[in-house]
Amino acid sequence: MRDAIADETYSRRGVLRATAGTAAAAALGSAATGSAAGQTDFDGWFTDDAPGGTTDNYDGEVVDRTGEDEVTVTVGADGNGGTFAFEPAAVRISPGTTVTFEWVSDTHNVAVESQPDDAGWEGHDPIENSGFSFSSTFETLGVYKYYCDPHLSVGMKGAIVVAEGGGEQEDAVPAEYGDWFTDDAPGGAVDNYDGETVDRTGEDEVTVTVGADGNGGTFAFDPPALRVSPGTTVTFEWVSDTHNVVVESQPEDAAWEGHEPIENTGFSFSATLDTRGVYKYYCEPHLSVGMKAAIVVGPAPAEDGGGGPAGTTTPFSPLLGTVFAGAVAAAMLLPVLAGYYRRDQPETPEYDDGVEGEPGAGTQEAPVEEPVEELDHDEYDPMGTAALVAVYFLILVAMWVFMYFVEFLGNELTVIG
Amino acid sequence: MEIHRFEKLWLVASLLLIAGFVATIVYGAVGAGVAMVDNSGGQVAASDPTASSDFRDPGVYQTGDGEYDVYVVARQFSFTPGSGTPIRVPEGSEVTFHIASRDVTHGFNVVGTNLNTMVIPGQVAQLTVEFDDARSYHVACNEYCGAAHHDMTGTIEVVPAEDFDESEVAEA
Repeated sequence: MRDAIADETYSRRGVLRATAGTAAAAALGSAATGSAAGQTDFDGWFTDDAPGGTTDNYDGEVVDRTGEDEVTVTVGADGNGGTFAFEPAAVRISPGTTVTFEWVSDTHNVAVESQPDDAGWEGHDPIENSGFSFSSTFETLGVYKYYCDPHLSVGMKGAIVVAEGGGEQEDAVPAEYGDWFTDDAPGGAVDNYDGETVDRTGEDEVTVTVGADGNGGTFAFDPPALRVSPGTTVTFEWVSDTHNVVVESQPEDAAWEGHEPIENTGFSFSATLDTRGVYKYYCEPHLSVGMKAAIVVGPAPAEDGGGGPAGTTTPFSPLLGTVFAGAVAAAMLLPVLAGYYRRDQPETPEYDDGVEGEPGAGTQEAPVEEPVEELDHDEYDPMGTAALVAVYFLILVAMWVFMYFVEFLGNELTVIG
Repeated sequence: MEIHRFEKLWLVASLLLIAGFVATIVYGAVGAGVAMVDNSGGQVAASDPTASSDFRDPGVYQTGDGEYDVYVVARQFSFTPGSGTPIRVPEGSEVTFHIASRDVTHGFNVVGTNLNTMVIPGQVAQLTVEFDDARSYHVACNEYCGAAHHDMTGTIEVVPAEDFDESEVAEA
């Protein structure tokens, strides 16, 4: 039944009705807040029933970005068997939101499949490469379906839902961490943060493990991103050695001090967080491996997408890989090809030692010349060799002086005991 | 065997060069006072050096006029003191470093100088050095010690004597 509501909501007519009637608007609202919203299938747009077949990177989840002024969709992100995905595949935004499409790989476009009747979105038909971007502002409520023309056949399809409601909760605190979990912040990326904010709202006591497995050792806070209700007591429990909890930032009127002394396994301390907002903290000894975390105090905005979009990286280009593999194969084939090309060349003739009766006239010896003048052993002065040896000596002495007296002793600070 | 007089010449020159090499090593040890890091630092508990009576809490201690002891604990991935707060000593002082590791083998290398030692768990690396100029030095760990080995650095600040804050010296 919930699915039926959702389907209806996102069919074009359903949306039109939703804008007209309050009952349908309520359905839309519930769809936006409930989990049913994530199950919509856009009339099969992401399935085999539509042109291009299944969109692998669409997991049934409509990423909720309502209430935000600007939303970014990555074009050519990893997915669908290559860099053939829109990320996120399906996103829900509020009317008036500006969506920026950013190309992160080559030869993609944004072709519009369908959109609400009175909308005039044109997408971007010309095929563009990495680095290109364009923005569109979506005012008309409804569902916009689009795809990448060159890669439709692998399922590079996307959808944007423009809907009222959701996100506009008054006391909600969005899980916005800025670049805290990325390479741009001190300490670099946090490996054990997968973009998910663990929701523990409504509980009085929540535990964070300090020194859990992660980040290349026992250098993780678990969970790295946590949402609790105001007034929750958060207990930090050490499960490995030499960690502390240093507060990076917190809401303006909060005064959490963390725990700066470095503690070992078995230690724990508690903090009651009353002020709404985002608290960021880290472990000082292990900041450099990304031992960072954050706590959000306050209820989630409706259908919180759980933090920002994950960064897209393309560590290895398939095209370059193919070119490289081809070059290696060609280099290995070269001797074979060369041998084939030279197959008609005559073999090297055998050495003719000039023995009578055998083919060839033999090789002529050069005539032996008599010496003009003979010298005794000590009468000859090998001045050239002497000069060469002298030069070698000079080089040796220069290197010795430089290395020992300049490089070593001249290096100030010398261990004297 | 007949040896050409030119050959005799450069044979003698080679021997003189070798004698020169040996002489410079002797000069370094006797004249310039160059010493090697040895095992004189003593032993400590491998996992908690400061628990041993031979190793003080990390910090700078004054032991005499212009003489200081610096106790440094190395661990994944920082020097204490050094990484968070710099090691500060006055200019012209003779400083003895006592460095111990509390987890794995680390290195203690004052970059661009001859100060360089391995820090082995359970042993105290001890080295004495004179800081003549007021300037700062970087310290790097040069023994691979784990995921963030490359970030394990520290700072030594040699400050002019009049700027040195005596209150930074730990109580002996």
